[in-house]
Amino acid sequence: MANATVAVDAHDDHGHHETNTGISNNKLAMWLFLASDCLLFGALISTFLLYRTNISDNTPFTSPSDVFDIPFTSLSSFVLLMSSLTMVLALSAVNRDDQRAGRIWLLTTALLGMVFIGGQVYEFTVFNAEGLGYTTNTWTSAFFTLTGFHGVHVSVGILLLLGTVFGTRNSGLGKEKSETVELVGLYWHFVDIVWVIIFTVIYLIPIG
Amino acid sequence: MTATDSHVDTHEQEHEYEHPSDRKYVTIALILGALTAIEILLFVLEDDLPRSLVKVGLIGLMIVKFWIVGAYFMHLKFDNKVLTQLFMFGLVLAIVVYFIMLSSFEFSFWNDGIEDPGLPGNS
Repeated sequence: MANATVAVDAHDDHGHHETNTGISNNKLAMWLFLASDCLLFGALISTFLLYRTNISDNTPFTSPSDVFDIPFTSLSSFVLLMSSLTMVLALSAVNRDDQRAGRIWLLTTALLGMVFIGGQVYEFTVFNAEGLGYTTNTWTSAFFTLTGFHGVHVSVGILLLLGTVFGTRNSGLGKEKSETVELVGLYWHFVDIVWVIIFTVIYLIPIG
Repeated sequence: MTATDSHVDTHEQEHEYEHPSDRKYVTIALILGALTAIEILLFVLEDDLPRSLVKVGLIGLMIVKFWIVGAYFMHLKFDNKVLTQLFMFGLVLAIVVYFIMLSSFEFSFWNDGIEDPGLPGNS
């Protein structure tokens, strides 16, 4: 009986194992992954910084500002920023056990992510039409690699969001799923803060 | 109090922190939107302002936005401090490693990119 009590105490109300840190292993693993992902994006951003003046090689452009459409990218950035809001509203709804609102906010977040990816595809298409291909020069290689990797992260985030919504159709998206939604949210917000850096460093900060 | 009690208390503390209300989340998002608008304004006015002021302003706004999303939307402000330390470790490690890497190429953020003629791809 005593053993059974200990066994029950060793789990929290979400059915997760008790840990020494008081943090669930899944959450700790997600933060560890995000910390390691900083190194990936650090490498890509640093590489772009090294080559950021090379846009004139094999192209008629003299500056990145000749090719960037700042109003359009600003709108995309705003969309991604607002998707972080809908993500926290989804988590808040799930914590209240409001399944319907939770699903709506998660789907809205995925939709905003798709709008962002659509904007990125449009931008890449315009660049390609202007003669800026992946191998045109070191600037384009670094730019497409950095923004492409970020786009892949956003796409994975969209799949996670849709997987959370549609994977819980039978089991429900109640309070017991709050950690799952929180983990997807952490990933999504990380993708957002990486874009905050990319938008400023790559698009806005002037050269020279 | 037994070790197990203490353990459970810690865990309950972990789960019982107060999340901001939905209204506060919307306010935070509006602040983030306003900061983005200021960034774009700085970009538009870059020819009328000292270049270094524009750069410092943009980097400052970027750091503030980063902190707001991390603290409030990712709940680092309310969560166990171990998570903040873990994330900061990765972030600081990345900044230090790539600062050293950029320095080795004599990169200058304040001037005109790299100055090392030996870098592959730079003519």
